[in-house]
Amino acid sequence: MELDGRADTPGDDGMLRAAADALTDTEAELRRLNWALAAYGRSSSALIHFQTLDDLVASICGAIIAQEEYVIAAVGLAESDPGKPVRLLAGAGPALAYLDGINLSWDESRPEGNGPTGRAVRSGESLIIRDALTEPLFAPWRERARPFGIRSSVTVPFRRDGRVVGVILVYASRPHAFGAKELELFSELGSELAFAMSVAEDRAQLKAAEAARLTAEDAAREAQAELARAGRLLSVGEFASSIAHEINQPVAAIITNGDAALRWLARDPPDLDEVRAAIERMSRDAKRASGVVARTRGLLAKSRTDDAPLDVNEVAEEVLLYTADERRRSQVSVSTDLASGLPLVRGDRIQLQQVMLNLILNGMDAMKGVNDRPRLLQVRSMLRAEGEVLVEVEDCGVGLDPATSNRLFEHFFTTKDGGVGLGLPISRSIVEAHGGRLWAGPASAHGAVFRFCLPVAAFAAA
Amino acid sequence: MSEAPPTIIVVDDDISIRESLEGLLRSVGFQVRLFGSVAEFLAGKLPEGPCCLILDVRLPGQSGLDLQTELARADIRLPIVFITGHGDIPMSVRAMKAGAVEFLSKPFREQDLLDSLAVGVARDRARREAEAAAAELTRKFEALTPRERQVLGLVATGRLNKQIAGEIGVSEITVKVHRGQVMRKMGARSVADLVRMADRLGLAPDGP
Repeated sequence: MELDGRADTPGDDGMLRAAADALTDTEAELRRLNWALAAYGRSSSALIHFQTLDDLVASICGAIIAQEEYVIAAVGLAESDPGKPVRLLAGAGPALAYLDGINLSWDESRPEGNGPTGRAVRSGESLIIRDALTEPLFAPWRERARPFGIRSSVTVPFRRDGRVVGVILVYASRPHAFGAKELELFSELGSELAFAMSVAEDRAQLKAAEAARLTAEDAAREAQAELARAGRLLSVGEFASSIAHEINQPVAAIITNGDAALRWLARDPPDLDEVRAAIERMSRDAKRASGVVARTRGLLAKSRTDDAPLDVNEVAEEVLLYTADERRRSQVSVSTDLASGLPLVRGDRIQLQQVMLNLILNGMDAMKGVNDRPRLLQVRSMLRAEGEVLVEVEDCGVGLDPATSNRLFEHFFTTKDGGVGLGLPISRSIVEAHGGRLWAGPASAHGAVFRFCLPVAAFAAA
Repeated sequence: MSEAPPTIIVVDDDISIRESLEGLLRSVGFQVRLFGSVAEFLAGKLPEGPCCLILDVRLPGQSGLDLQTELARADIRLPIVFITGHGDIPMSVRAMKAGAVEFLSKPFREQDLLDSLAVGVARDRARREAEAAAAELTRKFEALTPRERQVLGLVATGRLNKQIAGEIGVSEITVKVHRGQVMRKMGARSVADLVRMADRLGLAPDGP
């Protein structure tokens, strides 16, 4: 309104010119305001949508240099490393090359730390070089800046939690390019930037937490797999019981057929057709039973798919871990004497775990009725001279009955209530499939020792 | 009265077991029917004469114990000898509590099986005879006239002829005639016999 009033005053050229000048100034001012608004808007939108801090800084710098006279906009972070460098995060503008390889620092004891950047960081105040050609503070960089047409600059510090963490640097192609309005805008952008930095940090922390969670989940999954493996181990008993059933059926049928054949024979006259039919069924069922045995053997042989170097001590420790609960329930304590630095053996970890598990559970079973001494299970490993690793599982239980100890490894021989009599023979087959041996003997005082040895990997491979 | 030879019904999913049992059971004179599953068995008809069921405890689909429960619910009182290939102690307890004749582990001693089958068949025969007798008694009772039924009821409650005559308003002679008819039609050999029959028929002992 005021402008219109002045322009309306007729007949005075001076006034008109002044009015026109004022109008030009006002237009420039308006343009600047427009730019500031646009820059702020673009920055804000970048603030909301930014993916990485570098992208954000780049887009803020891009918004600033939309004003033609600004030839560089850059953001540096004040680091606390030795020499207190100000590391440039990103920048934009036609004269950006001016900053290539430039040393910026906020270290007071260094010459490059006493320029506008260093001072701005230390003081926390914006610092304006109004004219690069005359300002003494800018002298060290004057020659470097000349070819880029840099005539003025501003360094605006920004803070996080009250501490200066970085600066916005803007260089212009004309002197006196920076006024209060620009400073205000840059400070505003600076504090937005500081905010974005903390958001980015939060995000990084969140990401780290997420990664940690995933790692924890992986660990949980692994533990679960481990448990499942333990379950698979414990189901050896079920496996044995199912084989026992498979064999028991034809065996029961054979017995009944035999009884029937005898009865048909005892008739007067004997019914030989019936006898023949019964014997044919017996023969068929016997083949079926032996087929089950053959399949079981095949299963055991085939399941040795894994042939990896492994540490018997680890195998022993894993199985001891699996059986910890069971031992607590049965009040069995364990003492281990596992030789360190044992050479590796080759084989199937799961199968050797099964052997170990079988020996440990047997030992625990043997001590069930022991009440006059501690139920102690001893597990030892050692290297034998012949290139073999020896493992011993010793209990202090009932011990081996001399009358039956030679039958321990026979299929279906058991001295346990509810035992199937397959654990030891299967264990022995496994150890033998690994080129080793499994045998039993009396313990020094009470109980029994089961020992197995496996060839050391180097020998096994030969 | 000539009775059909006892039938043994075998329900086992294992053909070796089924066929071996068939051979053995026929050799001792049983008729044999074989089924591979509970469903097959239920689809068939029960034999006429006395029978006993040999049932595997664990069967695919419906188990032997399930069948036992189902038969009991349908009031089909077949004696059952269970056989099992597993050491199913809890199951054996359950089966025996529910009235099984025996619970045998495979392989079983032939004599153990034949003994339990003999028990089962005897039990089934006794049940059939009792059922047949009850049916016969009912048939005879239904052949009585209303007046004769009334007299039977009063005799069963221990009334004298004179009391009965007074109660139903006829002469003592008439009562004697009715009573003779009742004894003859029911096939009773004595008054005590007649009272037992009335008892089995469920005629109330204290009378109307």
